[in-house]
Amino acid sequence: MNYLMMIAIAFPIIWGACLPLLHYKEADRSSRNKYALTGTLITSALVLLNVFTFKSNAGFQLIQLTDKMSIVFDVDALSCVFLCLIAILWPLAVLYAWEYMHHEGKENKFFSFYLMTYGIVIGLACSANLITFYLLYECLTFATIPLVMHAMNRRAIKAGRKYFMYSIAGAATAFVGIMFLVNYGTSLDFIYGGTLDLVKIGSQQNLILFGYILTFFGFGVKAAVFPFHGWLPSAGVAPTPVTALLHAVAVVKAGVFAIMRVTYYSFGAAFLSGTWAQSIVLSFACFTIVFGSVCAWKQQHLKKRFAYSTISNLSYILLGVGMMNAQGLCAGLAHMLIHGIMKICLFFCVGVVMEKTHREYVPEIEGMGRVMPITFGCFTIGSLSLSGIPLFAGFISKAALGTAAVSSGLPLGLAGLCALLISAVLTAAYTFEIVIKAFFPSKGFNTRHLREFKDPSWQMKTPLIVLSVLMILIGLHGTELMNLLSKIAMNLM
Amino acid sequence: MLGLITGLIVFPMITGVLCLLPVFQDDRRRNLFTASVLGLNFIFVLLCFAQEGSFDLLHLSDHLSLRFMFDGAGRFFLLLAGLMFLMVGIYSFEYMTHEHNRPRFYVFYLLTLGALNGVCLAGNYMTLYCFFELMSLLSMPLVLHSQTEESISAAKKYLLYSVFGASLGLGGFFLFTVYGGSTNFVTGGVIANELHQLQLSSELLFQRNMLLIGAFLAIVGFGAKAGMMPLHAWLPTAHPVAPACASAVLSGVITKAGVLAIMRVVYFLYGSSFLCSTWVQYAWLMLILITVLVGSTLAYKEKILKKRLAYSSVSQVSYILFGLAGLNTWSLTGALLHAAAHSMIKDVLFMGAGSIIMHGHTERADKIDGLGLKMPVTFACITVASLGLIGIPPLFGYISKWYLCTGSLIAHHNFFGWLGPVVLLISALLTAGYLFTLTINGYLKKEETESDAHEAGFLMLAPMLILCTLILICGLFPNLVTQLIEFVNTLA
Amino acid sequence: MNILLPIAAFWPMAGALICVLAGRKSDKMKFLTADAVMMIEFGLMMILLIQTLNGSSLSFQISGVFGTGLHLKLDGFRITYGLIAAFMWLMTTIFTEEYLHHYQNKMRYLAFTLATCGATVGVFFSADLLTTFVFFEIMSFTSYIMVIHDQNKEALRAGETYIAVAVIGGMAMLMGLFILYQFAFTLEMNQLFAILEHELDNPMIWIAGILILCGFGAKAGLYPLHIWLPKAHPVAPAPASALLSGILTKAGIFGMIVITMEIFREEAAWGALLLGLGVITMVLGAVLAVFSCNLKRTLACSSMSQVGFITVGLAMCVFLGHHNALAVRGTVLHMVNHSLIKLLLFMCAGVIYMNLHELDLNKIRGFGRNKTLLKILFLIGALSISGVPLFSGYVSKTLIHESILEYIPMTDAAGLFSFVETVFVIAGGLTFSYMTKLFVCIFVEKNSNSALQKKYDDKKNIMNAVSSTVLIICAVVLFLLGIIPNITANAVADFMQSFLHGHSPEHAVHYFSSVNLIGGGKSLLIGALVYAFVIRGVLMSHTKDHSDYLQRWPNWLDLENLLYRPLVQHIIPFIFALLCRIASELPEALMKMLNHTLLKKVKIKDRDPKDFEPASLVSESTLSPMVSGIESSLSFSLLLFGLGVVLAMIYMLTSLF
Repeated sequence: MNYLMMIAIAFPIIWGACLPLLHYKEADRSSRNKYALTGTLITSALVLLNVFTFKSNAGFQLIQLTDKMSIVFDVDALSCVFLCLIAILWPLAVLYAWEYMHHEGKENKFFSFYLMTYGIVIGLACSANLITFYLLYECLTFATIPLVMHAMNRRAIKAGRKYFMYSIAGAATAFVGIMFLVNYGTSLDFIYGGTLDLVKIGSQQNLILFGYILTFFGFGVKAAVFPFHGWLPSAGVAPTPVTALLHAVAVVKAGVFAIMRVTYYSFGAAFLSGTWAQSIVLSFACFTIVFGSVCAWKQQHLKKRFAYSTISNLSYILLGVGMMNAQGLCAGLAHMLIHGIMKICLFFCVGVVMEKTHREYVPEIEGMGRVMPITFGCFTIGSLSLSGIPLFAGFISKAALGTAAVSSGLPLGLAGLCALLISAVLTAAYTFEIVIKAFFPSKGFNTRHLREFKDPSWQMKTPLIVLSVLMILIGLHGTELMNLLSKIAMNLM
Repeated sequence: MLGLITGLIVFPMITGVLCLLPVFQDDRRRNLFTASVLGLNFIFVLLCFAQEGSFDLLHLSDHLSLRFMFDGAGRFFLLLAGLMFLMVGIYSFEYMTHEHNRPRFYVFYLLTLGALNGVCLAGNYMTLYCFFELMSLLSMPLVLHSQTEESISAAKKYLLYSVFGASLGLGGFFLFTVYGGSTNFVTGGVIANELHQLQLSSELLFQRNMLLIGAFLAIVGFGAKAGMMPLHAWLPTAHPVAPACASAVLSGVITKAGVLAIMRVVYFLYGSSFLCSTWVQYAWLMLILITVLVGSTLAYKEKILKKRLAYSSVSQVSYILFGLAGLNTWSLTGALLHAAAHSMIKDVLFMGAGSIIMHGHTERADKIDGLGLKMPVTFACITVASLGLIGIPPLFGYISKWYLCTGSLIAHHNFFGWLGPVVLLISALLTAGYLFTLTINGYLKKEETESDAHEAGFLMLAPMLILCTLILICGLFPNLVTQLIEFVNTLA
Repeated sequence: MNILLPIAAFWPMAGALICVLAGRKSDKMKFLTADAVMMIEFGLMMILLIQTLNGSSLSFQISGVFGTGLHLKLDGFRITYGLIAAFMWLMTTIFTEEYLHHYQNKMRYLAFTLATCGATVGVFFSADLLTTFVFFEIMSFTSYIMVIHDQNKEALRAGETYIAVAVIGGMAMLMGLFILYQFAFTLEMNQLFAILEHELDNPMIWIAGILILCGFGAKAGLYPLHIWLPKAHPVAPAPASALLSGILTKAGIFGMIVITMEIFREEAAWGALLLGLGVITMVLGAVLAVFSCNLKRTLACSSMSQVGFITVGLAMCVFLGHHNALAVRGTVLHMVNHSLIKLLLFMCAGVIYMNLHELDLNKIRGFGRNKTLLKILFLIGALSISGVPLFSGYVSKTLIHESILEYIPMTDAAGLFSFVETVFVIAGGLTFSYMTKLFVCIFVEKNSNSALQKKYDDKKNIMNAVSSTVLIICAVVLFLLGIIPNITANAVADFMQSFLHGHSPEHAVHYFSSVNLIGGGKSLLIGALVYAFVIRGVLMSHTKDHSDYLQRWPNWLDLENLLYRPLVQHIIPFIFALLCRIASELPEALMKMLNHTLLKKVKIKDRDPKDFEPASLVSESTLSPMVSGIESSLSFSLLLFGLGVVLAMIYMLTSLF
């Protein structure tokens, strides 16, 4: 069954590539959309099939570059989590993009690259060693640049160039780190507990740690760690399906996924825990958590606000990962999943507001709650979950992260807890500010000019409702999910 | 057991949402519906006096679960909340006639009641935190009901302080789950039960310090809702802008949720013997005494009626916390008695203030000269309530002061022992200063300008009169209430 | 467990309610019900008196009521004072019908007077300090309404002082009770001495004692907290002032006795404290009375001075210890005498005020020249208070004087006590002087303007039959106490002395012995001299045809306005509020600072910011637009610069020359 995985990776890329060949005109827009959606659904089915049968099949070697390096794909427990996330969210994003892309134009180009990125991300998840991972990491950047520059106006191009520069620089730094592994590691494969050859390292432990820090900040660019987060807010110019899916779920999660792989499956958590490298990782994560929330509160532009919120939440995951123990990893995975759902739902709501009312700033959405109840209803559930109110999904991961941070016993763990709490308050502040402004306009406010805005069509509404229901379900019944993730984190699956 | 839980928590919430239906747009029908819901809720509260024990409703994740518990403390605060919501509800039917979008008020009014019942019935730290947050969120629209610019920013401030307080509580939760063990409430405290081994080895000293930090975080965090010092600033801003019936409920009952949360943490998680004579207790006592003094002084200087009552709530709720901080049975009885007394008295005062604003057409305390002659019953109730709050013997406030002060003198052996009663009495003096002037100005001064003030309607006066008689009865025979809080001697 | 005791305490309060309900129809009904209630109360007291006389010691205890329980007890002192209270309330209620004839809100006055009667009886019957405190607070608040009955500005201001002193005193007493409870774990009067006897070296007990003394002293009118007394009486209706200075001060003294006798029984230091306060109050009261030109204010200051006398007597009881028979009997008798005297005098003042609506001596001068009945009654009161032999005042004053003389050889500070004795005599003299001043002014001299005098002379029926009978009864009771002291006074003293742990004297006191007569005579002589020289000379201006009384006492020298009011109303609140404002604004200021720096909203570039100014989290303190406008404009800064240059030029020019 190992070629099943190859089909899952190749199919969307081919499907996306030959979309422009069919020359869909402006008129038969719906058939193109159906085409794209069927492609995504089939891929998702393939991926889910892969996930449920991942135990039986062995790895699939595509090319043997040198004696040490080869392109190998294999699905293991960690990649299943990432695959599930993207398999659920990608079709929703495509469905959402149907109506959204109508007024953006150049839909053929958009949907083709959108599908190709889907294939690359699946490949990224299933890569079995660092080289394959690095290859697909670079392909991801190239596939997403046209999506960022979709509008092709001056600001979009500037943002695309900025994104490109950041990603390539990051990948290069990560590559330097990988070379340490080639030299000092037994092999480049992802094996739980790391592949470092302690005999060979001997006294040069600090060198290896420096290598790890380089890899961390290399992949950290995509995970938007503090100094290298600049590209994420400016990537907000891209259309909402792009910012929602890529810059809240796929691309940034790839960065975090990379750090998880490197920390637990290449360098090994045991080697890293207790070292100065861990303290650097934790301190940067804590700072970014607070920094992201503060900037989100300062921002008035809706998309920028939630971009900064993503920066802060990514560092939540890095805080969990930085704990260097199974409990931390489990909390990180939980937050990766739950944050993906929350953030994409919030971005979709923001997208609806921008698309329907062409308004982008917080003060402008006064009184819209009554006019667009479903959108802002889902937005409220999303914000409740994001700020970690119990009975909603956000609380589950926040509780896991908090307990992991405290039980690590590190002083930086406590600092992480304080950062979590402060950021939770700021999250509540900047999300509820919008909710209050939307549902409770000030006294003298006349809603006459809001009358023509109403809820979007069913294509845009269904993803919102599905995601909100998902959030409440996980919030109320997260036991199985958490048990599964803790087993994965202990490598028992 | 499950039936009662749904009755007490889910039922008000659902009926709250139902208020939005078009069938309830008409005032009379909606008022009847709300009154019946509040009445039913009160009956449910009485029903749960027969219940005992606790059970897990829902497992959110591996060690987080929604757990509910029926015990003495929960029942006491449930009764308090149910009674006050019923009284203020009846009062609000007439008061809300001059406010706009009434259905929305009643939606959030009943939702807050559901959340409050949840707080009272919470069986473990997580459920308490969950309903605590829900209550903050659901009571926020009550504050911004008038939707003026000022009330919206006040609501935001209220929400932010409550969320920040709750997140401090969450910090305490994390520290406790890691170092303390299971967070299910146990009378007498989880930690106190295995106290002896905590003191022995030095390694555990670190754990003990962590637990103390967690306790202090939880106290300051939940203290935000009870208007304790560092996070009290929202109360004087939120109350004047909220409608009178909302601020009556807010300061009468929702501050008691903060008190209950602290009581659960201190007496049911950590145990009084663990926290006794530690730096947490002294820091907490210091915060309380500052709040008591600051609250009554600023109330004394305040001219706007509702702001004055808000500052008075800040100081009076800290009386209750002073009882909790005593960590002995005497102070605890005093605290719970004062909780009951303060709820009744503060509700009467806010309802009186509401009727003065509505029928007396004035918001300022120094502009109510001579209104007493035109609104005799309202001012009579205000007088009875103020005398109670000052602690004049035949009324309810006196006995709680007695227990509080004697408890503090007997328990503490350091300077807090006598400093507490001195501060409480100075504050009682200031209370006399700012409350008694209302009566004197109302009844005894002549009215300068001839205003068309007239007495409030029956619906507004009935609850005030009922509560005043309650104050008198409990004042004369406080052992009715002390039987209610029999559970106290098992705690401290 | 005798149920009559709580009935005696709560019946007047119930009666107040009945009076309010019954009195709706007509004024007549109001007064009738009130009189009936008081009759029943008086009857009740007589029954209790008879029961106590034939030896049964009644007590009533119930826990739970008022939270801390109710414990009432009867003994000689308590039943006598209960009886006196009932008698005085009965007399004043009957008298008020005529007095309040043309007043409004009579119902309120009557209801609250009856409630105060119940509370006062409760205070006298209480057997533990908590019950005393409970009734004491109720008495303070109900008597407040009696003081501010007229509701004019001075009445409210006096009422404000009265309630402030009452509440502050009450709180101080409560604090004292807490500390006592911490040591004794009970506040039963009879057990206190046994428990606290050997802990008296602990300073906390002394602090508690002083605090409780503050509470009771405030009501009695002791020196530092006497400010309300001279202010409250002129504004209160006459019957109310009669009750205020007759009975309510005695409730305060009752408390003082309890504290002194039950805790600090033989403590010389406590005796010295009481003595000091007593002497100051005695002298200050007398001096104020001499200087005052208002009838009721003089009587009020005289009450204050008499309270001073009683406190001195109490102090002597402490000093004399085992053989304090004389001091105990003197104190007790002086209390009884003072109550009855003030009842009579204030009722006479009431009659005068009822007719003339005037209290200033110059105006009511010569009113009573041909009113023989009023003249005799006032004379009896005046003579007995001045301590003229054959009148009741003389009896108690000599007893206290005797006790001081008896103590002088026993103590080593003989010099101090002889000084106290001389001051005692002088104060007695002053009393005589201001009473003669009143008597001569109203009943002897002619009014300066003759038309007014003529009007007074032909004003015949100044009070109806009922009021006159009431006054006569009071006078007779008073007279009986004085004329045959060995029988009446001794009987009363024997009956009441057990309360102060007094022992009956070894040898019978013969009041009219030569030594006592000389003592009394000495004070009368001083009084006459003071009247002749000080009052006639200094305090009156004699022009050729008429002379009138001058207000010599500088009105700035008033302890209340000089010290208390500014301190309590302005200085302390200002400092306190400043600190509290800072403390409460601290978290707020932090939020504002954060809001302006770290969390400052990013300005929206491509939209003009005017149309949606972001409602910032913390409502900004709105600077007046004018100020913020000026700060920002460049022209304004140029203007300031120019002004600066001009000033510099002027400065240089002036410094040159």
